[in-house]
Order: sequence, then C-alpha cells, then structure tokens
Amino acid sequence: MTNDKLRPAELLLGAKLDGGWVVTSKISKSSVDSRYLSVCYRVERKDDKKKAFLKVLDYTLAMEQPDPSKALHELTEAFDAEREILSQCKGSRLHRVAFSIADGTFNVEGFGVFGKVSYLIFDSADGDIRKQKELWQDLDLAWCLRSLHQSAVGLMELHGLGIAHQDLKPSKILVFNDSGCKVSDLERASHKYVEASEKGNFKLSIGYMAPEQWYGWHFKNDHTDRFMSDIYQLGSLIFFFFIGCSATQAIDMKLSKNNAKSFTKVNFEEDLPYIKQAFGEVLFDLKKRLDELDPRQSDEILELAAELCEPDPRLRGDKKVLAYVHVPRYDLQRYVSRFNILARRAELRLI
Amino acid sequence: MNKTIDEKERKTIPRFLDYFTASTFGLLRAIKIGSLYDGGVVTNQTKIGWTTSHNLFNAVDLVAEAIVTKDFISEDAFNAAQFINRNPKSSWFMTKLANHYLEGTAIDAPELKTVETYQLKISKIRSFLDIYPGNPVAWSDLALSYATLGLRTKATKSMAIALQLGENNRFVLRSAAGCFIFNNEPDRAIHTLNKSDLGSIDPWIASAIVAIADGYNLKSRHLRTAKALSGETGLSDFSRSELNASLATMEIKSGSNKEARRLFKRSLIDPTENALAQAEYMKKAIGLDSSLIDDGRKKVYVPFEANTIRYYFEGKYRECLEAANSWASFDSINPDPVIISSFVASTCLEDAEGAIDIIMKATPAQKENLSVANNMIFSLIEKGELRKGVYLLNKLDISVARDDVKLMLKATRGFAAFRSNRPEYARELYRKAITGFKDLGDNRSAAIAKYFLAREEKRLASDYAEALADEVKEEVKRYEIPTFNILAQKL
Repeated sequence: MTNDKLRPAELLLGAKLDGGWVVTSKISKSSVDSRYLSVCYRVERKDDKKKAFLKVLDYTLAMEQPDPSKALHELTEAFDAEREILSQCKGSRLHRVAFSIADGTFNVEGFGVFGKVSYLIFDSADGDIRKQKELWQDLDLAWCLRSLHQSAVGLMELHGLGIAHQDLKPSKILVFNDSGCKVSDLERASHKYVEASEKGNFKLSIGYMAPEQWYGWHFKNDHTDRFMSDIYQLGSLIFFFFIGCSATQAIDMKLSKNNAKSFTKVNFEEDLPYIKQAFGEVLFDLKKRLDELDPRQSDEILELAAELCEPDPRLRGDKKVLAYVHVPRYDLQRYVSRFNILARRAELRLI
Repeated sequence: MNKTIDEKERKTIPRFLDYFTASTFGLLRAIKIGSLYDGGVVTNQTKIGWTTSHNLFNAVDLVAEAIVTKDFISEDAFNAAQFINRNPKSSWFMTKLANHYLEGTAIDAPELKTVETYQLKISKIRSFLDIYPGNPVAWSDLALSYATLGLRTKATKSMAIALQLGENNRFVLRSAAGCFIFNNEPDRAIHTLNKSDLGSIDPWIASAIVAIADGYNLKSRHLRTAKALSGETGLSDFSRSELNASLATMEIKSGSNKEARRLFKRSLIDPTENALAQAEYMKKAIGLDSSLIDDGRKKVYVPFEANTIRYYFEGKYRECLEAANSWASFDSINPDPVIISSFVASTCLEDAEGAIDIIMKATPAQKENLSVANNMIFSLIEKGELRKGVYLLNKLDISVARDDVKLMLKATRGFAAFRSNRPEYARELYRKAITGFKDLGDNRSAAIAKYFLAREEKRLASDYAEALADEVKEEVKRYEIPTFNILAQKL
C-alpha cells in the first residue's frame, strides 16, 4: 500500500480553492463503491461561511493498478462523465437533485505533473434518509411519504434531462434540514444522448439492482432499460422505509429461503416466475406492515410498490401510461402526484 | 375385485406439485454442473461499510449480499446477522433476513396435508394474488389446490393463466403438464410442452415429454433431442435422472432390457424421487441390481413412493401403509397411493375398516378416481355394509370409463352378488369380467379377478374352489403378479 502522504489528493487539508473555498477537514478515504477513487473533505467558503462537501479525484491510485494507463483512462473518463452530467444539471432548474456547486483543479506542490488534482464541491447535507430513520423511535409515515415524493421529483427531473441515475439507494437520498430530500451522487449516471463508455458494466450495488440487472438482461437497446431500473430503485425505497431493506434484498432472501439457500440464477426469463413468487411474498409482508402503520393508505402504497418494483421491466410502471402513445413507460409524473397525495394525507392527519 | 396398482404401467410422468415442495425436492435446480452453489464472497464494498460503521443498515447490506452470493461462511456477515438480531430497532423483516442467514440448510419433510389444508391454501393464495396477480407460481399453486379438491375447471383455468404468465419456466410447464394429465387431457399436456423452447435444452422438460408421449401413445418431436440430452455430460446427474428413467421405461416397452438397465443405472447416480420410484417398479421386470437402487435411495430426500412399492413387493404391509400415507399427502391428486394402501389394508391385512378410513381421508381428487371408488365399495361390502356398497356402485357414472375399469366394476358387482347370496349371478359376472380382461389382452387383471372369484368360492366351500385355487396359483406365478403370489397360497 502506498503511503497516504505520497498522494496529492490526501494532502488538501487547509488548501485554498477557487471561489474562496477552504478545506477544513477530511471526511473519509477513497470510497470503495465509487466508480473512481476519490478523497472527501469538508470545505467552507470564507465570505459567507457556507459549508460544503469536497470530492477530490485521486489519480495516483491508478498507478497502483496492474494496468495503470487503462486505470487512469477509466478513472478520468468516469470523473469527466460525472462532471459533464453535473454541469448539465447546473444549467437546469432542478430542485430535488443535489448537484455540484463548483469544480476545478488544484495543484499540490511537490508532485510534478501528478500534483494536479481535480475536484467537485457539493452542498453539504445534514445526512441521508438512513441517518434520519435511525433517529426515530417510531416510523414517521408522513416524513417517509414526503421523502418518497421528493425522491420521485428528483428522479423525474433527471429523467427530464435524459439522465438515468442508475444507483438510487437510501444512502444517495440526502436530507437537508431546510429543503428536504434530494437525489445525489451522479457518479453512475448516464445521459441518453451520450454514448456511455461502459454499457452498464460497472459494478452496481448487488443489494439494490433491479432483477434484470442481476442477469444483465436488456429488453430494449435504448436508454429505456436504465430509466426502468431507476423506477425500480425508486420503488425499492418504499421497502427500505417500511420493512428495513431494499426490494432486491427482500426478494433475494425469499428466493434463498424458498430454495433452501441454493437458488441459482439461470437466465432472467426462466427465473422470472420464481422472482415474481418471491416478490409476491415480499409484498404480502409489506402489506402486513403497512396495515399496522396506516390501514387507510396501505393499499395505495402497496400498489405503488408493486408497480414500481415489478420484477419484469416490460410490465413495470404505471399501466395507465400505456394508453398514451407519446408518454414513455418510465414517466414519473403520475407517481409524483400519487406520492404527493399520500404524503399530504399523512401530513394532514398529523395536524 | 379389489384393485391394486399395475407396476408395469407406471411412467415417470411429472408430478403436479406446489412450488414449495418442488423447490424443496430440488426440482428447480440449475441443470448445468457447477452452477448449483456459487460459493461467492461478499464484496469489499459492503464489508468495509460494515467494518467502518456498525449500524443496522450496513449490517442488512452485508447479510443480504452474503445471502445472494451464498457466502455462508463469512465471519463479518455472521456478526452482522447477530447484530441485527440483537438490535432493538431491527424491523421484523430484518430479523427474518438475519435468521435466514444464521439458520442451517436442513430441510423439513413436507407436512402432511389434509383437505382443510387445501381449502385454507386456496383462500391464502387468493389473497396473495389479490395483492400481486402477475405471479405465475401462485396461479399454478392455486390450480393444484383446486385440482386436489376436485375442481377441475377452476384448476385448468388457473393453470392457463399461470402458463400465460410463465410459459418459459420449468416449474410452470411441468405443473401444467401434470394438471392437464389430471384433467384427462394428455394431448394438451404434450402440446404445451412441445410448444416450449425448453424441450430441447432442459432435461426436465424433455423427460416429461418422453414420459407422456410414451404413456399415452402420443407423438413427440423431442425424442432425438431427449436422447442427446440424456448423455450430455455438461448437465448434472440429478437433472438427467428423470429423463434417463423415462427413456429406460420406453426401452423396456420396446424390449431392450439391456439398454433400459444402462439408462436406469445412469438415472440412479443422483436420482429424483420419481426416477427412484420408477426404478423400484421396474427392477423385477428387467433384473435391475437392488444395490443400485439402495445407493440411490440414500440420496433421495423423501422416497415415499419408492418405499411404498418396495414394502409392497416385500410383503411389509404395515410399513407400506405408512409410506403410502406420506405419498398420498404430497402427491395430492394421484390416486395410486390410495389405491395401493386401501388394497393392502383390505386384502393383505384383512382390515376393511382401515381401508375405508384411508379412502375417507383421501383428497377429493383421489376419491373421484373410479379405482379408488371401487376399492371403497369392495371394502364396504367386505366389512358387511352390503347395502351401502351396492348403493355406491349403482351411483357410479361409468359412461366415460375405460373398458378395463368397467370390467373391474363388473367383477366388484360379482363380489357384491356373492355376498348377497346370489352365487350363480356372481359367477356369471366374474366370468364376464375375466373373459373381458383376456379379450383386452390384460391377463394380469384376469388373474387378479380370478383370485377374488376363487376367494369367494373358498368362502362358500364350493366344489370349484380347489381347482380354481390351483389355476390362480399357476396364473399368478406365470404373470409374476407381486403380492398375489403370497395371497394365492392362502386359497
């Protein structure tokens, strides 16, 4: 392992970045679930004391890979792709997506050409929905539904720009005390009209993948697949809030249980009935939980979960949308409204 | 006459099982060698997440991933599962997840089911389908429950929906074949299987096609592929077991006992319970080595049918009844376990009341079989409830029954006539039945009918009794009818 002190990305503490940002503290080392290796810091803007989050690309780690030139290429490409997508978001009026507020490069002295590091600065959140949930003694239904509504809005905004998030999970839904929830981390996002260098080959989080992604199965060659998996991951958040794990994790557990821990994936279409059976069992469990929480809304929430997380992507989404020729199957407008109504009802009951 | 099973007629027709039983029996396993246990490991991502911060979410991520990758030896995942169990904030589902990770892989034997079990199951599946109607497995299970309760139309309708939703799935296809066979539609069963692309790549489907085509004299366009699949080394022995047994049975029919033995030998390397039962039925006919079957039996999870047949052939009737009871419970639409156990109770153990009890406990699907009804009538008359027996006999609708079934019922009518002191009429009925069986080329059934005639003659101490008994002994020996060789000695 290379000494951290030999890496420029690790040596930014106290550095003054463009726009008046000063690096105040280090948050963590490179995150392993990233597409590229980065180091994270807290930064503060001198003039208005605004706090933010800094992500620095670590080029030197590429040098430790067996094929450094390939690793460097992949690393920079992934970083550029995220920066490109973030710059697109910046130009649009997105309310529920946490995008970068600044980006640039910084030269760390003493490393020659490797001293230059690229960085992205994001708004600093107060945590994610997991952290929020951890604080509760009892589940706050209204908050959960509002969070789902806001996540749906965020995803719809991204889809509106032709961007598929591709890795929506609880840790990626940030909570801002003043403005609610926002979809974050577009590292794995891809744009509809930009040819992605990796056709979905990068490692997705196993526990959050849509079933067709387990098998690498595509039903359409365009970007629709990716939008449909986003929809699944949005629905999966319902399971996270109410039963404590993602739809995928719950389905996997049922599959494993039904097959005495020896379920083996063969091919998507052949296994689909078993996945559907497991999904049906999970929905049954979810219904029990929802009935405990709010029997008046349980059927509607369950319907949303069933539609959004339908294991067969060809049937996923709002069936009424099928009637409209010009509306894509992954359209989230109706879901935004439905989540909003549910959240509003739950909020009114709190008054 | 009391009906028993005809071991030579048995085929490896796929059983119509519920999803849980099928998966427990391993019938849904991957067919390729090496793909059964992935033996993966959890990724660094979740491991580091958990080691960096011990919280409920990281624990769930790690345990869930360990389940997917089948990493059941990960110490981190084990600790995470225990953490979930100890944490008061764990949801009920999280605890379920953790417990599943911690529990072993031992499988409980399938529970014994009653008619009430199926009634409850229907209401459960229906509420299940209310929530998620697009689940073909649940529709198939619903079809089985309806079929078990004798509701054939509802069963086939449910199965048609299951097929629409999952026509490319082994479980659904085999269940559909079983359902259509139960509904006396073998051509629909084979058409459904032939239509699927799986017939040429999946030995489970190929086996079903071969067995049904062979059993009902139907055409199969997959025979050549089936033979190729049976020898394909890339496939697991377990997945090819039933196919080899089906092909072996076909070879017996065409007189090639040597090839049949070779195929059975292959099918018994890692047999399914259906293939094991088939070998048990056929072992005498082709001189199959018993030790091969015994070795195979050790690998079978619940060899109910094979055990029933073995005990039956060995004359261990009490054990036979016990095994048949379990067989009847898990194979809920198959009348054979009820036929054999009611026969054993009534004729071998001379316990007519026990036989009636067995039939009363059978599922409606099993009870509506004419051979089961025949055994019920026989046992009632044997017990002395002549009027009730004759009443049931007269009530039977035999308009669409096969000729051999009509002859069986004729013989039973003869039995009733004997017990109502009308021996001449009884003899005439028996004679007609015996001649009828012989005309059909079914000498075995003719000999069995003759045995029951001889039994009644002995009871009446008639002049023909002794000569008839000798005739029966000779015929039973000639046609190698198991159990009757023992019974005939008592004449």
